[in-house]
This record gives sequence, structure tokens and C-alpha cells, in this order.
Amino acid sequence: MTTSTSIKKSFTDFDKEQEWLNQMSAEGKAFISYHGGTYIFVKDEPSAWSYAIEILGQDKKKSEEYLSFLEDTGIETVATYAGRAYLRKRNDGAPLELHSDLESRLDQAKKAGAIWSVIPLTQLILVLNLTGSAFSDGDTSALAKGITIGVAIVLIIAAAVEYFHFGKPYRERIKQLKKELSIKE
Amino acid sequence: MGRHEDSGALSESTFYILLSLHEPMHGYAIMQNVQVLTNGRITIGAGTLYGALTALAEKNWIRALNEHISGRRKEYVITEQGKDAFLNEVDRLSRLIADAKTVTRGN
Repeated sequence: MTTSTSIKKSFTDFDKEQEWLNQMSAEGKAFISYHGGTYIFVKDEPSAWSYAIEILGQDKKKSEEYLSFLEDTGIETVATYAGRAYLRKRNDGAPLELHSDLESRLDQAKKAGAIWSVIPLTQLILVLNLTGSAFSDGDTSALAKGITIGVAIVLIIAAAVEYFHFGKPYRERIKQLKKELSIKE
Repeated sequence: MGRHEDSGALSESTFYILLSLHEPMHGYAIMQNVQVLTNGRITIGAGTLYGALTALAEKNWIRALNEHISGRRKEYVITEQGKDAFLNEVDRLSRLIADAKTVTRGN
């Protein structure tokens, strides 16, 4: 029987996550399954697999077509979760690079980084709705208003951390790629 | 490929995909063929290839051959329209080379 290890971990940067999966593979732990923050590994030859994470679009049928195309080129889907796919191929000495030109790399970086704009924006809209309804209604008690302000402050701080801190590596990558794209393809 | 619309320049990947598809080929064969043609200089990533094939098929520069046969890898081939576009690009590239030689001749 193969022994498996499960590790709970969370990442805000897909590049770091991918790096970690490849590092685990190099140590002889092959990633085989993911669900809600839990990664499952089995023992394998060191560096048997190269891993990559791909951000899929919203269209489910197109994503399936894409993953089946990848399979025909020797790239397996380990898991799909919340709009992203964990992929691997047998290690042939080169890292698993799905995007070989600047334009498609830029496209992936934009898709991956979008999460740290979408979530904070959703939180800010929620703040506006909460405070709007608490303060427009004359019957709202002082306690309820206080709680609303507290919740609003927490949400605003979370949104700011997500956008400015978590989103930063993506913005830097996008800027770098755009600079390169202005002189070559 | 939006930014290429004015100049008409093809990306290097697109150029070699169209060149490969002068014979019918499926995705993986295209990737291998491009590596052989360029002596390993160019490796097309599977994601980039998929995006290019989709865009080229939409433009009718290539077409799928066995689209309705399930369980088989989809093969593609260049169309007449694609051949014209490819030849235009080859012309454009020759002009670039000629221009470069005019200026740098003797160096």
C-alpha cells in the first residue's frame, strides 16, 4: 500500500504554490489531490513530475476542452478547484511551461491576479450596503450602528490588505511583462 | 493577436504553427515539429498552442479535420486563406532582412 501524506496550507500567490509543489516533487513527494486547502502527496521518485497551476476561464465546456487538449500533449489534470487547474507531466528535464510567449503569459498573470481585485471590491460593495441600510433607517439602535461600523472597518482593512499586499506580486509581474511586450513578443 | 492587426506581423509561435500545418497535424505533433524545425530554439507551450489554434480556426486560417470523430486527437490543416496570410508574412520578413542589410552592409 502506498502511504500518503496530507498537508494543510494556503497560498495567496499561485507562483509560490506552484514552486512549492515542484519542490515537494523534488523531495520525492508527488502531489495527487487537492481539496479546500488540503494537499495529498504520495511517495514517488524524486522529481518524477513537473507541476503547473493554470487559471481557467468561467466557461466550463471550454475548460474541459482545454484540459482534454492538454491531456493529448501528455499533461495530466491532478485536480480542478475554484476556477484553477493543478496540472502535471512526467519530468523531462524542463519545467512544465504552458505559456511560451509573453502575450499568453501576460494573459495568465492578469487572470490569476484578478482575484485580489474582485474580492476586495465585493467587500467594499458589502460595506456600502451594510452602512447604507443601517444609517438610512431611523430606528436602528446605537448598538446595531456600532456593530455595523465595526464590521465595516474589518472588511475595509481586509480589502486593503488583499488589494495592496496580496495583489502586489501580480501587479509587478504584469508591469514587467508589459514592459517586455513593448519591445518584443 | 490584437496588437498585430495593424502591422500584420505574426508571432513567432503562430508563424511556426502555420508552417507546420502545411501538413495535417494534431497538437502534440505540432509542438514536436516546431522543436525539430527550429533545432530546439522554440518550444511552444501547450497553453499558448491551444490559444493560437483556437484563434487561427476562428479566423479560418486553419481548419479541424476530424472534429466529429470522438476519441481521436483533433487534427488541423492550413486553409487557402491561411496560406495567403503566411506568404504575406514571408514577404514582409524578406523586406525586413533586405532593409537590415541595406543599412548594415559591410559591418
